[in-house]
Amino acid sequence: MPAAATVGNVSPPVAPGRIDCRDVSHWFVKDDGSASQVLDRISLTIENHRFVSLLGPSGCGKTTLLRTMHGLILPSSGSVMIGGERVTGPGADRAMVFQEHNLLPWKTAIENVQFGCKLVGIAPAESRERARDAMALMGLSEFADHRPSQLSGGMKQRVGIARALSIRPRILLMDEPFGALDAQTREIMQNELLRLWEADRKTVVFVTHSIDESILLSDRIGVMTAKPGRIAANIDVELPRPRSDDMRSDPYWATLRRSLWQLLKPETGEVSR
Amino acid sequence: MTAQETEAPPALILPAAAKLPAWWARGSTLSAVSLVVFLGLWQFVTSAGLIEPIFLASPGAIAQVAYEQFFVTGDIYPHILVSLTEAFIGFALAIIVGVLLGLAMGRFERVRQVLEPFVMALYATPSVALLPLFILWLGIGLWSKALIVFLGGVFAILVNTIAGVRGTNPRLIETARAFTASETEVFLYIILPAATPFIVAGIRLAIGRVLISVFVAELYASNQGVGFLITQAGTTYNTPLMLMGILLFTVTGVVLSQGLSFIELRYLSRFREQ
Repeated sequence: MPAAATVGNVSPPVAPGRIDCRDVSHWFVKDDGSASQVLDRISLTIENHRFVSLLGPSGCGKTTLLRTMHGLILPSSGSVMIGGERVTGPGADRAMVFQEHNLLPWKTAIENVQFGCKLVGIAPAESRERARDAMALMGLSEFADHRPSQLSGGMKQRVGIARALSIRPRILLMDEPFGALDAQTREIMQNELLRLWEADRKTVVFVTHSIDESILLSDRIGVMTAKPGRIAANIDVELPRPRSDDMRSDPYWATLRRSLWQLLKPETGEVSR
Repeated sequence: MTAQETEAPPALILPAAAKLPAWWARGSTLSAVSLVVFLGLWQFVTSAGLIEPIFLASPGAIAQVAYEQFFVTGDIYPHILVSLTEAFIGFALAIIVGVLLGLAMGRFERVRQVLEPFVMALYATPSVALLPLFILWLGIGLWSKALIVFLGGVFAILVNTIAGVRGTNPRLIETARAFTASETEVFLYIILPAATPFIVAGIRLAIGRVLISVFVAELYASNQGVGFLITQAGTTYNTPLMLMGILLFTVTGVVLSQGLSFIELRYLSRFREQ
């Protein structure tokens, strides 16, 4: 070990938005009492300001891996470090966007956004302001006082994103956020997300089972295989930023998509082509 | 045939339909009409002598008795006061214990496992069967009856509260945790609101059981109360007074449960997930 790293017990500075997974394994206890391994010694580094997708079939553990990064799940063994500090539980420096919008049905859209701020300890006046800003950013100002039941699927997901953004996290963790949306809404939301990301380039970890979605959005794709979940490959996406839908016709896109498909092929057919 | 003529039929039907007054279109109108017709028939069969007055008093006779009881002699008030006190104490205790215990049992698996056998045993036992025991313990006064009322009402509230807490969408709980919510915050901001409609539904279910318990408790051993009045009127063949007492229960039950239904519809529908 280089001497410089140990002088005065100061470790080398780590960017606060960097995620390091070290030998992360996880087992779930099934109903019959037996253990089933979902993650098998996953080591993965996600640099600050990077947009990284976790791509894989259902049941490959990508959602579980995302939850260990957030601290909602503590891995059975191994550790997750955020900005050099070990994750021991959920923290306000990272925010989660869920596949199902998970909005409280008894609160209005803007109250839902404020609720996130309130829980992480932001003062009420500041929360209101942040919620208004986040709603405006997501183009939802008119719908602030609507209840979730009065909003479309795409709008509910926008509220979910606004709620995550309003706590101003360094890291955004997204669990198949567009998985439940229809194809057209999904494309609109992908472009919205690209636009948002370009503004401040937070670290984003984006779980998906769509190859095209992962290519369009990511700097890097962690391809996962199932039973037990492993990272089969880390693929860099060398398309220029800012990304746009036109790039779908780029020959590079087709090549990348084919090689991702090959990586996933031994797995089940659940990945959408 | 001209175009004008072909359009004529709808033009003819529409005014005819519009002639129906607005009050007729309301569903409550039909209910009211049905009630009035029923009362009319009742009055007719009784005053026409088709049924012996001892078996069924006429609405007029009942109204007459009610008028005397409420505005002339005032004899009814002590009975109402006694019954209301029993009902109120028993019901209030049932709500407090049912909600608090239900929240604890729904939230903490261990608490539920410890208490479940007792709850199931008491739930399965007809609470009225315990009345002789309670009278032995507490005498024939207020408290033995309040206890029966409590037991009659508490389980509907308890069981519903447990179901409401356990039925809380786990994804909402996870979301709150993701935003660093503490256990207390999860309970206050997610579980409690999610369980509220269930709790209110339980309270509404309990109303009927509370009224039954009041009546049965007074039937068994009592010298006051509306239930006692009904029993006494029955044994002395005072049919109008007996029916008036029964109607007092009916009206109380309908008013309470309709009131709660209104609150549910007006204020609590948003707590349910669509």
